[in-house]
Amino acid sequence: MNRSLALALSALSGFIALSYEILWFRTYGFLTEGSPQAFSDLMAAYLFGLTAGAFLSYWLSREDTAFQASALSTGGSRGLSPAYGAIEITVEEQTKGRFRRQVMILGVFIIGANLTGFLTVPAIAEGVHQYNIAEEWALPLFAVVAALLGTTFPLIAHFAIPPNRATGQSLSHLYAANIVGSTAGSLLTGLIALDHLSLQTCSVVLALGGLLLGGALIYSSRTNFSDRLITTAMVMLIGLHMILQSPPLFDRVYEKLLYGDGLSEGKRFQSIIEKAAGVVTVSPSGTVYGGGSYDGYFNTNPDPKFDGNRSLRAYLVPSIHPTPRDILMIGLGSASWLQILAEHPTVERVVVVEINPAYVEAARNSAIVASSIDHPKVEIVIGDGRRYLNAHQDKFDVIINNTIAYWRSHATNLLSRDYLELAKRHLKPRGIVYWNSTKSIAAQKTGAVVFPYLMRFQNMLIGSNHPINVNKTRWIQDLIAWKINGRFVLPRNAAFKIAQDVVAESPWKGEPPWESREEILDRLEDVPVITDDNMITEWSLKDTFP
Amino acid sequence: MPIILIFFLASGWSALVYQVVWQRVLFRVYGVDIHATTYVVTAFMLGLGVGSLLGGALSRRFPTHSIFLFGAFELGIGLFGLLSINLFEWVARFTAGTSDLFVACLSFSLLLLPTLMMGATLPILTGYASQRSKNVGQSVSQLYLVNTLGAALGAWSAGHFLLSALGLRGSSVVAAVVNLSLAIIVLLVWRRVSMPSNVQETQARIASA
Repeated sequence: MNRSLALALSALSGFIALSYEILWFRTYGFLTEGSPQAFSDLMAAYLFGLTAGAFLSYWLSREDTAFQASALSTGGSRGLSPAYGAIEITVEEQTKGRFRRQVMILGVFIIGANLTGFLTVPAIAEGVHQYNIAEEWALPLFAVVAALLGTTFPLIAHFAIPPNRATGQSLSHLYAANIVGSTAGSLLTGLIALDHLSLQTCSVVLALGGLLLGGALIYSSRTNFSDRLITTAMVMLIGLHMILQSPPLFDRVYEKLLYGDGLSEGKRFQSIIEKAAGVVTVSPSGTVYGGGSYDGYFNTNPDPKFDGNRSLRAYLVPSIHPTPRDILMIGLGSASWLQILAEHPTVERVVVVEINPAYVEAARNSAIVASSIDHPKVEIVIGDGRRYLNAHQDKFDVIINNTIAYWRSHATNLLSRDYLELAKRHLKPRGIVYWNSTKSIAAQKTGAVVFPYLMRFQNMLIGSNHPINVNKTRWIQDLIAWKINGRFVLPRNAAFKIAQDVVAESPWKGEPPWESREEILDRLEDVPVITDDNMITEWSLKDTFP
Repeated sequence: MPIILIFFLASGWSALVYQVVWQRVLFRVYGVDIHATTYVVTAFMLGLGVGSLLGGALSRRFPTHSIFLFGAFELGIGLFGLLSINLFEWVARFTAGTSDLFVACLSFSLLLLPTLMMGATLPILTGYASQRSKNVGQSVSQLYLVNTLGAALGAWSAGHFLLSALGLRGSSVVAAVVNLSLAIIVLLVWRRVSMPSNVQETQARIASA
């Protein structure tokens, strides 16, 4: 095999392999709701697959030792460069046949890998939906495809490089080409394709690309017309079949991954927004899921009869800070809190920092919260919350963290002692940090250690450098007077009664809704603090309260 | 050869532990938004690519020093691993919250040295092994096999044991200890083999292999 072809194949195989890895990470991350182990598990499965592929190529290349050695010695005796090309020149007759066979083997492997790669995501979705398979069972499937993909690189090296003192250098070129291809796959598929195309379209495009590459290799390995015609016809037939079958194969793929065997016939998401930063899906009832995990509900009605997402917690803000003018909100979620707080008369500015622009698009599509996105008081920044705080010196009256569930990957970034210290430095005098502990006892302990003044309200924590005064009279007054889009949030004829119901101290999951810092510290004496280094809620400490 | 394979398996194990740990540290500092994460992952891969070219060139230039080069690179990776978290955190103090372009350059700069050394090891060992087996496919497959197997075990053990038991800093120290132990053993073996009295015997063994 000549050098240029080997380098091109090496780069393309790297491109395809990394692109599949990215599509699988999206799928597996969604399936596991962003488990911290998702990356390492997928990586392990992928690498185990490559290991199996390397073993397969080891087996396939066993018989060639004598041939490579004789090719080297003959090439050497003619004074030729022992690097690429030695095989072709020295044993010409044998080489033509061998070369064609090598190219065909590679073509078959590439097509096989791409066909199975194309079917992987629908197969997992179907397995979860029809057979309720555990999420870990997706990993062997990834490994099988990775094995087929992993066979190609050592085979290319075997076909293209003779054993001599330049072997290491020749291999390094192939390896570098493979990595350049992998990098391009990571950038093009991860950063660009997934920002504009759906998972289904990306899968089809990638599989078609692989099919064309494999087909071209098999085509070039055939010499007679009829073989080439059959190859072309087969490739076209398979390609057409893939295109035609992709809509039914990928139909409700995210619904299957999220609801599993609980997905009823005909149920589908109201909207699916796919961006490079992740997938946001909205159920027919208005529940928002980010990366397969619950992330809010379009609702601004505090009436307990309708308040499924407990928006009462947002209405509490002006009662725990007397004049919330500048608010920083890290994480948009369903935008319900933004809609509520942007309408409060004392609020002058709300900065929202959200990593995934899909949330903004989802909010725009909801009649309940759409107006908040373009509200004159609101400034939306697409980016990372910690990075925003590090880059800006602004101080806020209230910092609200719309935290993801404590056990999800990167939850530490908004729950750790290090982060809370950073947020604390961005508070104005008497400012508060108001965040969702997602019931994690470690998050509650961490908050109580960082802030000299702290209270728990249901699953929320309120931390400050100054004493916190909860003004329940104001809470009732605010609820009665609160308007969104010019309309009162509570009906006039029952506003006072409903506001009283909202504020009533009914137990929260069987425990008191309010708790002081001292009570938390007593209750959690032996619980460790979350740090950036231990990431304890992600990896080990899963206990909750209440 | 079997001992080299075991060493290369351990080397792959520690490389993936580093990758999981370093990505977490850099994502925390520079953000988990899609651009920052892509830059970090890309920097990791580009470093491996450049390292591969370097390893190839060294393998050609010093074909009889493969074992020494492998040991030296393992030593370098181990030393970097030992200091890595402190270095990243020190740099982060001055650069957290910086622009996307700067994040890209910084990620590349921070990861270039260790990933370059990691990337160099495969071509170096392939050059060494294929000289002995006279079969590139087998040599590459064997080395690639054990290295990726080690890497798979590294990714899995980091996600399931190391990070929960030791945190980021502790995990990187364990990986560094593995690299440093490998380096010490490999360099001691190289020193013994390269002593004048042993050279001829070794060459004869290679010739008869």
